Amino acid sequence: MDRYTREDIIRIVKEQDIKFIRLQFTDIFGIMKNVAITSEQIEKALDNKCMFDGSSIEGFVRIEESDMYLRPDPNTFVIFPWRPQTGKVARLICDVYNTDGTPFEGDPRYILKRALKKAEELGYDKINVGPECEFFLFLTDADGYPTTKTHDNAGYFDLGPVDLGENARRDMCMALEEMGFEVEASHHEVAPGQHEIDFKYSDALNAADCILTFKLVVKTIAQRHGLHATFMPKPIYGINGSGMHTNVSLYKNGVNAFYDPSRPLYLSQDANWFIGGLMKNINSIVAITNPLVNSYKRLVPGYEAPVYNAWSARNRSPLIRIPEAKGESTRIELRCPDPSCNPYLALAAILCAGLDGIKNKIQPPAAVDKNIYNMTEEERKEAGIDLLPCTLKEAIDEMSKSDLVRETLGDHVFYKYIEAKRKEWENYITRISKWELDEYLTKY
Amino acid sequence: MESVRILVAISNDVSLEKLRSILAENGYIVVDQARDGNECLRKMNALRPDISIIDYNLSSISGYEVSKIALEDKLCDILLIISEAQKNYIEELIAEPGFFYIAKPLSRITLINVIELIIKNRKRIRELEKQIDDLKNALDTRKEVEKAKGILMKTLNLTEAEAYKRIQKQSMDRGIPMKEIARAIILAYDINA
Repeated sequence: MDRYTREDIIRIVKEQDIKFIRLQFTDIFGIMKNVAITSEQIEKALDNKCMFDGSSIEGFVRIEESDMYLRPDPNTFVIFPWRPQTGKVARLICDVYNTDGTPFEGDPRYILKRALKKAEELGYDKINVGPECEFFLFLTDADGYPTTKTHDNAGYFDLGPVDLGENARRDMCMALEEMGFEVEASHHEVAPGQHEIDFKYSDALNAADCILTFKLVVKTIAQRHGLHATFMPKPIYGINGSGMHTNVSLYKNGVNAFYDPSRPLYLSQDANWFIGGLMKNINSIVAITNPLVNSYKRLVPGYEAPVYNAWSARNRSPLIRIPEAKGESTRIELRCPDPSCNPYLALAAILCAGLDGIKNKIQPPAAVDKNIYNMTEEERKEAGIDLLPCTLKEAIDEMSKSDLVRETLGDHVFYKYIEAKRKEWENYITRISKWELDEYLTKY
Repeated sequence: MESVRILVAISNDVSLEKLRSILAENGYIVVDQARDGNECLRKMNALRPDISIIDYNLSSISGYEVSKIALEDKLCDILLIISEAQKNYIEELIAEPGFFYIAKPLSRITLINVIELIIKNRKRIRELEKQIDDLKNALDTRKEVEKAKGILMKTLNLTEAEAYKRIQKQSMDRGIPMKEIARAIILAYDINA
């Protein structure tokens, strides 16, 4: 589905008086990078002649091989809605290429594309993904630094009839819609200051692009409202963290391959195997779907985040849930990912884990419709319910053992990722935290 | 005179208090105050004042940036307090409607005069905006009624006057604006075509 041709973009840039175009891509941790070019250079950019220094990007390459090319994807062309009428800014998401014209294997977008190709080889021509992103809106202090105070409980309610968060969220939705998002739902979440905006599912590559764009929009609009938006998975102890539940369905010849009215729960054999694959491989991929030290502080009992490796059609405590909607909308909801993940890598990992199930016909264990939090350890053992990794270290250890993940990410990203995450863990575990001081300093 | 709601954003407490009292003495409602740029943005969004008086030198986000965002998002009119030297920096904003500035040192009389001017200007702009809206509406209606008339004349073999009457009668009988009736006719015709 091509939205724009090269000529369309050149024409729009001229017509809309666009001054700057940002060429965007991500490093392996999902941090968005930009190369800004002026409108005069748009043709050069669209001819894939824009270069940058890859050695400056974390997880990319060494200095000796640092020249890389950006190939803009014309379908990702969007004008930012929050700039003034004169001097507008647009963006294009790019693929990263080596000087010899081959795709760079450290480019997360390429890794997702490669995973999608694998799905296509198995006959799945379309993978639909619907993410549900949660985030917190915090106040900033007088110097502009973010705090963990939320507008809800900072005594702001008595100021005016309008809730700051509502207001900011409404503007976010409007900006997203102007950028072509179909916003399906937007609401206040469980925790104070926590919000969720859901947009319509789309094919996996587009969904990953959208998640990145979404984060940028949320942060920018929040800033314009004097607020700080964060996708940190668990910013405050004792209240819900922010997740990114990910809905997935596979299509074969335009038909939802997860739907089969003749089977229990209307779930096709493929869907069952996909669940089986996810459950078998989940421990190896959580390091990607939940990449931070902080991610694992969200995955604790009591805050609607999954802790156990199980699936259910009914309750919301396990890792995988089957939403009620049937037919075209039959899908699997994976509940562990959080919005700090690199969406390209996370979707590639989820997809490959599920496809592994289909390829090897892995039957999932029976669904668990009880609240797992209320089961005793023996009951859980009997039902064969395992815990998810409890720390980033466990997750990385699991990941490093997995051939599937290595194949999915490619050697380059696989080893760089593990190395960086081990460093992150090392860095964290050797620090003395506030909790330790509070707990021990006076006692001993 | 309708009461005008003003937000004051100045980092310096003494100046802030002084300004508040001048405004209050002159009958303006100071809805709130802010001491840094972010707080100012939050309060502009939450309280929707008519005018924000902002010091150029705000902490966290400068008064200049805050003004720019407020004007782009059409939050309220801005009166920026600058020093003579800062005038060079605000050139980009000077042309924006709804943007006003005043240079230090502030005199009570000039300040009040400028605010009076802003209010007058606001009122005038709002009137003009309403007129434009009305005109646009009228123009839209006419365009669509013309088109619908054409369709009726062609399909039902009516004269222009008869076609117009039909539309008018439908509008009156059903209590629906002529524009809507015209749209329905056009839509029905498009579906049949």
